[in-house]
Amino acid sequence: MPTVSIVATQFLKQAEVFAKGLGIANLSIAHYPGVPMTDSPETVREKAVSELVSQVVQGLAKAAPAPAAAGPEAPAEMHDIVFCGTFAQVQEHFIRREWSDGLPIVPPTLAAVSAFLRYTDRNPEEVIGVLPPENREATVWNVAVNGARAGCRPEYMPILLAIVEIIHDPKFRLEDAGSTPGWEPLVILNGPLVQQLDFNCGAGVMRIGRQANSSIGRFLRLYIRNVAGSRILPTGSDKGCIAGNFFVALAENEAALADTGWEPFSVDEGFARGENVVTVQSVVSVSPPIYTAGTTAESHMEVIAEVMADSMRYWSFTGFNQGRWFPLLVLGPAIAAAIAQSGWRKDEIRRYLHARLKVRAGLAERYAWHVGLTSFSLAEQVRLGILEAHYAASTDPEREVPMLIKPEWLGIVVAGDPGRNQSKVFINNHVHGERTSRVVRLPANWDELLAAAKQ
Amino acid sequence: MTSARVAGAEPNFECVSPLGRLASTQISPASRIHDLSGITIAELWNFLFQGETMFPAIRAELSKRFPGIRFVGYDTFGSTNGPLRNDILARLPQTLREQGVDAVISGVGA
Repeated sequence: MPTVSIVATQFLKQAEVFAKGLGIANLSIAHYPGVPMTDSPETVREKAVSELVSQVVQGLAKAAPAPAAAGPEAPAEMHDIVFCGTFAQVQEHFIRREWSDGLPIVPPTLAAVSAFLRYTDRNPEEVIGVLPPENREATVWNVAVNGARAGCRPEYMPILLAIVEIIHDPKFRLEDAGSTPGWEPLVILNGPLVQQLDFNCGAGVMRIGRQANSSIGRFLRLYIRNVAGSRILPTGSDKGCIAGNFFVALAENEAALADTGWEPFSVDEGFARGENVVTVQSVVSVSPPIYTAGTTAESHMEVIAEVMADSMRYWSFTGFNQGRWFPLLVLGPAIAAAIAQSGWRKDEIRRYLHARLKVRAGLAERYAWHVGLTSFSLAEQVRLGILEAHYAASTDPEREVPMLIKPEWLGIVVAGDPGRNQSKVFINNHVHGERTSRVVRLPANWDELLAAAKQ
Repeated sequence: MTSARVAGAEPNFECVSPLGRLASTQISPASRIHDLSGITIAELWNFLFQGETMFPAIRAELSKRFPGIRFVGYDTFGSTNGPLRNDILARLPQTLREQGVDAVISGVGA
């Protein structure tokens, strides 16, 4: 059936990359000049008639010519040597081919890749899946290649494989990695591997500076760039308007949980205590550092709730629009201990915050309109069954509705400086990069391999 | 050999590709329609970016130019961007058939 897709002019490259990946390179497109959300309805109407109608007629009458091949198209047979040169020449080549993030990479030689493959029982040729937008195959082999060049140690390989399994999960919606909010994936790690592989889970946990945390965070961004094919303009499809940098991996301080009696984050996500579990979720913004003091749970939670509400209020409509939202609260160990001493468990924290984090309905609808949800209303979301009835309990725009759609969707991780009293909230992008977890599958001879790695 | 050094020279690194094989195969576009008179067009909207203004404007202008043209409005399908998208897209081929649709205008990407 013939189609025409309406796309703003500045999104033509994104449309081209996606269409090509989906096998419809000659998709007919009618492009809207300018930014729809800074045009008045009168201007939109005028442009629709003067600019779009003729393109619609033409697009339905004649298929668009397929664009010339663009972007990296390496042969990518596993053992092919695609470049040989000095360290500096390798850097130049990788930058010119857009295979680099702009920072120096470790040359992915066969020897380097082989070192990574020793840390998995899986066949290097195994196809984990096909990743959008370029629809390239994610394989055990190219996980090793990108792990090597990101500066990972070979023994991180089981974690890297779990990460790629996660981003391939349709629930993660990797196809939205280049959406305009510019979200970044955040890796969260639980289990004995935190200690075994020397992850930082203490002071400066989210700072570049420890190889395991830093290189795994960089790996994920490089992998999304090279295998999924989400690169920034002018040649790529990533339309993150301002966006941000990759996050280093966040490791939970499970030893600190001993002072709380709480289960680790991974147990909250449905896994057994002691399992090595990787979770990945999107993050669009981070709250200010939240300093809280006192000896009671209420003393801490009152301030945490205030700062969380201020940080999350603006973006809460995205959760209302999709019916799902998964913010992540990272509590400093001393704060977690103080809250736990009042007898609170994580569910009390969630219930407290669910009751207190509120946004005025009219404000949420107003913010939604500004982003581009021009027909959004809470009443309509309730009518469609996306939100519970209390979100449309009245038509008063001053009424307050809960930002946390379900208390259990608030993630809680204990990490950071044990010698201070600080927490932070990581705000995710609704169903883009939805929180998804996998058990890390270790090779049968892991203990032996790990011992060798530590020599 | 993955790296080589000639005496006194910098080592060379033989690098493999960081990419994956392209998995998609290109499909041919559907037959096109040269005269929109009398055909039925479906509007697929993601409920974003002033589509509520764009679609009616396009609808009105095409109706002026092509006699007998008919539209199945976006409300018939629902938002292609919301949480019901998977169900909507799964039902789409059947809905298009039921509505006797000949062509689709989809939007808005921005």
